[in-house]
Amino acid sequence: MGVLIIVGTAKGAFLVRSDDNRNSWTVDGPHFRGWKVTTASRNASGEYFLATASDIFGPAIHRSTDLENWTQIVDGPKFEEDVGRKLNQIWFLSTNADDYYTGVDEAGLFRSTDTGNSWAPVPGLNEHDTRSGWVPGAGGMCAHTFLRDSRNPDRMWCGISAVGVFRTEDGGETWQPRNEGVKVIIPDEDLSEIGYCVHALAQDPEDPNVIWQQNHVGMYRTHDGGDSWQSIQNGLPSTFGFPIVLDPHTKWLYSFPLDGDEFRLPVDGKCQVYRSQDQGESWHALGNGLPESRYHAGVLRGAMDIDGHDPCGIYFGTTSGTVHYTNDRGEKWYSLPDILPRILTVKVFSVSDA
Amino acid sequence: MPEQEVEIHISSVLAMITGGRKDYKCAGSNVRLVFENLFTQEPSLRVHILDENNAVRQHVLVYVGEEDLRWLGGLDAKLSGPTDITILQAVSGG
Repeated sequence: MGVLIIVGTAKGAFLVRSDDNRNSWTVDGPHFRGWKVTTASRNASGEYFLATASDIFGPAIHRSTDLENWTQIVDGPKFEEDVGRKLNQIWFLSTNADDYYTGVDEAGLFRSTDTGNSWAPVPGLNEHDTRSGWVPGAGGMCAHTFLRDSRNPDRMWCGISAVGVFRTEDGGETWQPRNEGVKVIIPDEDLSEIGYCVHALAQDPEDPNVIWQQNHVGMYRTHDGGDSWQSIQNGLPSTFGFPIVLDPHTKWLYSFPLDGDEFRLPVDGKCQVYRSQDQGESWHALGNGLPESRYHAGVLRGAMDIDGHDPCGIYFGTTSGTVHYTNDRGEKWYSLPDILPRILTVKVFSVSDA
Repeated sequence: MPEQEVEIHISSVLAMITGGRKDYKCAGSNVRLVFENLFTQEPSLRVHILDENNAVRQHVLVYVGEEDLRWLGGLDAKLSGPTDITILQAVSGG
């Protein structure tokens, strides 16, 4: 057994592998040399999916069973001509259930019912009653985050910047904004239920109604699937950051606060992951092994992930192209020697043949 | 107008998704039809060359011989003789 990390960068994907000890790594790449690699996933059969994008040549989804030979999905997500939207980037791929979903910029959700061969828009969200009031954040207007209810396949959540969290109870037919308690960032005179800038979500695997949210203006938690959110800032050095991940074994949380939203730089020039060991009630800095000063790179929304081991490994990539990791829940951190292009996404998979 | 046999050359970045193939022989009386022939041979290329409106993507540069396709009238430009078409990324694309 071992661990595979797909590191997606502004100029290709790098495959980083180790055995279960997670202390000796090989780095293979770049795959899709010259292309942005924006996210990746795996399905229940072990097939991998990977999204590319280019400011010149646009986005696409590719699939592979061996991580070497990739086939582009020809009938991928696409806005029809009369919709008047451009598809700029694939933000997430959710391929671990019967129906696959992908979220894109310009904000939209697409579904595949044939294991990824063809994709159709989800009009209940894409043409939502509030659509006229949706506005982009600095990273574009994108449907970037997706959760499923492990106990009810008809129940899902989608996070859109800078719009908010939406939830469906009917398999994606209709979607309702679920942002009560979150500070609004772009108030709309007529549409009070939107204007919230969700950055990332993490979900309790045992209780899908418990969700943590790193938002543009704070850290939040809900116990009721998003019906109400509470601020959980105690110990965090700022309200801004992008990723949040959860260790399913301990339910400890990990985030990477940034001094923002104006600056979006690490606080005080330190590379520090913040950990909560009490469901988000309090947060504490972790930095043992990470750069202690003169550190000025950020960590983007999709650029932190966690493995399923116990003790868990946590991995993050930076806008300066460095990869840092721990194999003991964050007590001690290490850095890969490679300097990669700007890192957009980090996705971790358990594998049998690393 | 008889169909012209055209050699199409794509950029190295585009060739990353065609398994390394960079050269194609296509037929058609205008560029749009030549491209349709190209997409029949290599369906994955369509989304990377044309946008949602079936126009050439803003930062994709198409040369017909040594002429920029934009100055020849766009995709419906007639092909009057044997030529090469080259598909590149414009400097404006970054």
